[in-house]
Amino acid sequence: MSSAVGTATDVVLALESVTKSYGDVVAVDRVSLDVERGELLAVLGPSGCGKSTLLRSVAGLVRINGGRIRTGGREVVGPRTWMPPERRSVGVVFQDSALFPHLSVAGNVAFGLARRAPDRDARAREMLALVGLEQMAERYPHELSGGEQQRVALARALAPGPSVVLLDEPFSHLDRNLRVHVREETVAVLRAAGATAVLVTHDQEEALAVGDRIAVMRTGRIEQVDVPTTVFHRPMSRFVATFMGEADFVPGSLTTGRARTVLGDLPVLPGTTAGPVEVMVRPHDLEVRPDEHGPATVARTEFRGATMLHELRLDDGAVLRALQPHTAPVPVGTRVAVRVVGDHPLVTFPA
Amino acid sequence: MTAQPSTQATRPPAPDGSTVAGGYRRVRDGRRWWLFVAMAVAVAVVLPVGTVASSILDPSVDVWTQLWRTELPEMLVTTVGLMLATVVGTVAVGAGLAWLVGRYRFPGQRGFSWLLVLPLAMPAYVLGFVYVGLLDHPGPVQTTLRGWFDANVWFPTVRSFPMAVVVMTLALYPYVYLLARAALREQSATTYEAARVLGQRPLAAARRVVLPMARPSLAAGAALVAMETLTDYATVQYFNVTTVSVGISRVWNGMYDRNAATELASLVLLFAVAVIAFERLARGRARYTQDGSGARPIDAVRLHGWRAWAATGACALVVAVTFVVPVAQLLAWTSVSGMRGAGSALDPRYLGYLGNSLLVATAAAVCCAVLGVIIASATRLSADRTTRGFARMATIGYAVPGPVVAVGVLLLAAAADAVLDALGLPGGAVLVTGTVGALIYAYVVRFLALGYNSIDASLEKLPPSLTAAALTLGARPRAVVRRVHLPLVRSGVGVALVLVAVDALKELPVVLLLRPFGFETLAVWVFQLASESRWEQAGLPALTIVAVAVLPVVLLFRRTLEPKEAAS
Repeated sequence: MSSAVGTATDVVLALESVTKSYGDVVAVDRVSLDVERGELLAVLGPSGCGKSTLLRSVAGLVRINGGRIRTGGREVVGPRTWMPPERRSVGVVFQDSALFPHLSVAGNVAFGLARRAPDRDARAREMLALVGLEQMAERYPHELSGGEQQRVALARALAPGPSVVLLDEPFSHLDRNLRVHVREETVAVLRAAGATAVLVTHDQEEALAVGDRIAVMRTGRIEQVDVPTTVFHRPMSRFVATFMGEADFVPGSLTTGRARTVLGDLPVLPGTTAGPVEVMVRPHDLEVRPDEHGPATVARTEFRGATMLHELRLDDGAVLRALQPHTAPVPVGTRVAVRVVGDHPLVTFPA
Repeated sequence: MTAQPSTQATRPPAPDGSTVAGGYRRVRDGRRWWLFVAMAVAVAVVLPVGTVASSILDPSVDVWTQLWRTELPEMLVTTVGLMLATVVGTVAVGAGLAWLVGRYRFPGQRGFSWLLVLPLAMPAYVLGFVYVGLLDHPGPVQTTLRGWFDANVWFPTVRSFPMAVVVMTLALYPYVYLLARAALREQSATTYEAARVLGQRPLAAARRVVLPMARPSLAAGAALVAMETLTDYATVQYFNVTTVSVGISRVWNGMYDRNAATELASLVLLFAVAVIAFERLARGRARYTQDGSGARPIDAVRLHGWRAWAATGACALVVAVTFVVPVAQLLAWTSVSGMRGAGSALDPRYLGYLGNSLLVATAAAVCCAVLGVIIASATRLSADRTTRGFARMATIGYAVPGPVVAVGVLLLAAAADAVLDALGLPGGAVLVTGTVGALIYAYVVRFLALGYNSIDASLEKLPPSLTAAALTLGARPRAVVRRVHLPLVRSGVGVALVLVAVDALKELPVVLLLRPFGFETLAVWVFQLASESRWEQAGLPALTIVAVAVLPVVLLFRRTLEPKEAAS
C-alpha cells in the first residue's frame, strides 16, 4: 500500500487528474499524485512517456488541458486558474543545468532572491556552502566541471526556498562514473535542505537508488506508485515488471496459493484469480544445472563480469534468462534443469 | 486580511473556493503585454502592404485602360526580361564562384572567399553610374579608343538593356554567392563521398548530389535577386530601362497620380508574390537538413599550374570589376571635384545630407533593434503559435519590394492626414505625409526582418531552459528579458543595429518616394547628381556610402567565411 496517505497538511504537491495533449497526442493522461513534505519522488518511464511534460506542467512551463495542481496548499493550475512559472515557488534543476553564462556562480545562485533583500549575499553563500562550492563563488559556469555545474544549478533552485524542487533528468548528460557520485551528493543536499523533490528519470537504477517512492509512467499514465522494493518485487503490470529490471514469464495454472509450471509448483502472491497465469521470474531467481532430463536447453550465454547470463529455451519455445556465477558456466547446447531459488512468493499476471 | 493595493486590489472574489491567488494572477499576467506588442507590430507592418494589396482586389478600370494604352505592355516585358536575365546571370556567376572557392585551393582562395562579398557594399545605383561614366561616349574608355583608332570606332551602346543586366548581375551576384557558399560548406563530405564510392566521377557526383542538395539555397538566392531587381528603379533609369517600378516613381513624382501609382504598386506586389511562389516551387518539397554543424565539409582540391592561375584570375577579375575599379574611379572623381564647390567635403550640403542619412539610418536601426528584441523575446516567453505567427507577419516587409512599401505608407499617411484634417487640427494636411516619421515607418516595415532575424538567431543559440530557469526562479517576463536575454544577445543586437543602419543608409527607392519636401539624403543626392551626369560631384557622397556599407561586410562576412577555411 502507498505510504503517501498522510495527514492532508503534509501534502506539498498535489496533482489531480492532470491532462496535457498536443493535438491528438495525449502526453499526460489524467495523472493524480500526492507528494509529502520532505519526500523524494522519482518519476520513472521510458523516453516519450510524458514524464518531462508532467514536470514542466508543475513548473508552469507547459499549460495543461485539464485537472488541477496545488503546490504548498494553493492551487496553481485549475479550471479557472493559471499561475505563471515565476509565481509558483517551484525550483527546477534542468537537464542541461541551464546556468546563466553571463553571471558568476554567486550571481546564478542569487538570481532568484529579491534584489534588494539584505541577506541576499548571505543566503547565496549559505546555499553554495550546502553544495560545497563556496570557494567557486566568483567563477563563471564555463570554468566548472559538469558535476559542479549541476551542483550550482541545485543551489540556485533551492536558494529562494521553493515549496518543491523538480529535477529533470539532472544526471543524464554526466558520464557514468561521475553520475553516481553527483547523484549521491544531490540526494544528500536535498535531505540536508529538507526539500520536497520530484526527480524525473528514465534510468530504473537511479529511481531505485534515489526515490523514497517511485511513480512508473507509461504513455502518459501512471502505472504504479510505491516504495522502490514494492515496485521492484510486486509490479502491478507486465510493463512495470520488465521496465524495473529483466523479467521473464513462465506460463502456468493457478490453484490456491501456488502455480503449476514447467519449473515446478511455485509459491505465488495472492491477487490473481485461479486459472491460467504467467509467473514472473527474474534472472537472479533462477539457478541451472546440467540435467539430461531437464525441461530446457542453454541457447546462448552472455558474459557479464561477475555473473554469466544464460538464455534458456524451454521445450514449448518460451525463453527464460538465468544468472549463474561466472565460476559455474554451462556450455551452450546443454540440457539443464531449472530451479527457482529463494522461497519468496512470485508475482503472477493473468495469461 | 487587509487589502494591499499594490498586489491584491484587483483580486476577484473566489467563486467556488478555488484559489484566490490564481485568480488575481490572471489579471496581472505580463504575457498579455508581450502578445499585444507583437500583435501591434505585426499589424503595423502588414497594414501598408495590405493597403496596396487591397487595390488588387478592387482594380480601377479607367486607370488600367489608361496605363495599358501608354507604356504598360512595354514595362511588363522589360520587368520580366530584366528579372529573368539578372537571375540567370547572378546564379551563373554566384554559384560558379561559390563552387570555385569552396571546392578548390588556389592562390588567394581564402582571401577571395570573403572579398567576393564586397560588392554587397556597392549599391547598384553607384556601380551603375560609375560604369556609365566610364564607358559612355564622353567617358575615358571611349575617348582613349577614339585616340587609338578613329572617331567612328564601334562601341556597344552603354545606356541599354544588356548593360543594365550586366550591372545588376555584378551588383547582386553576392546574394547567390553567399547562400551557395553556405550550402556547400554545410554539405557533409560523406554524401559526396558516397556518390564517388558508388562510381560517380567528381563532376557527375557534383551534378547528381551536390547541386540538387544546394537547390533550395540557389532558389532562395535567385528569389532575393529577383526582389532586388523589382525594388530597384534608380539604376535601370541610367540605362533608359523602364520597369514597372520606374513607372510608379514617374506617375507619382511626375504626375502625382495616386491611383495609377497604387495600381502599379499592386502589380509589383503581384510580381513579388510570383517570385515567392517560384522559390517555393523550385525548392520543392526538399528540406535537406543534414545534422550539419559538426559535419566535415567536402575536401578541397588543390589546383596546379595554369588552372590555379586561371581560378585566381577569375576571382580577381570579378573583385576588380565590381569593387576595385569603381572605388578607384570614385576616388578619381572626388579628387577632381576637390575640397571646394558642389559635392566636395566642404560643401555644406554634403554635411547636411550626411547628417540626414545618419539620422534616418540611426532611427530605423534603433526602432528595428528594440522591436526585434521585444518580438524575439515574446516568442520565447509565450511559446504559443499565435506569437510565432505575429513574429512571422512582422517580418514580411523584407519580401515586399521597396516601392510597394513606400506607396502603402503614403496611402496610410494620407489617410491619417485626412483624419487629422477632419478633426480640424491645424496643419493636419502635411503633419504625417510630409515628415521623416513616415520614412522611418517605411524603413521599419522594410528592415524589421533584418533586425529581428539577427536577434532571434542569437537568442536561438541559447538553450530554452535558460528562459525557463529564469521564470521558475521568480523573474517576471520583463525581468527575464532585461536580466537574461539582453545580456546574452548583445552581439545579436549589435549586428541588427549595423545591418539595418547600413541598409537604411544606402537605401534609395523608398526614400525617393517618401522623403519630405526638401529633405535630401546622401543616397538621394548621389542619384540626382548621377542622373544629371555630374559624376565628379557624385563621387564623394557615393564613396561615403560605400565606405559605410563596407563595414558590415568586413565585420560579419570576413569572420564567418574565413575561420572554417583555416580549420579545414
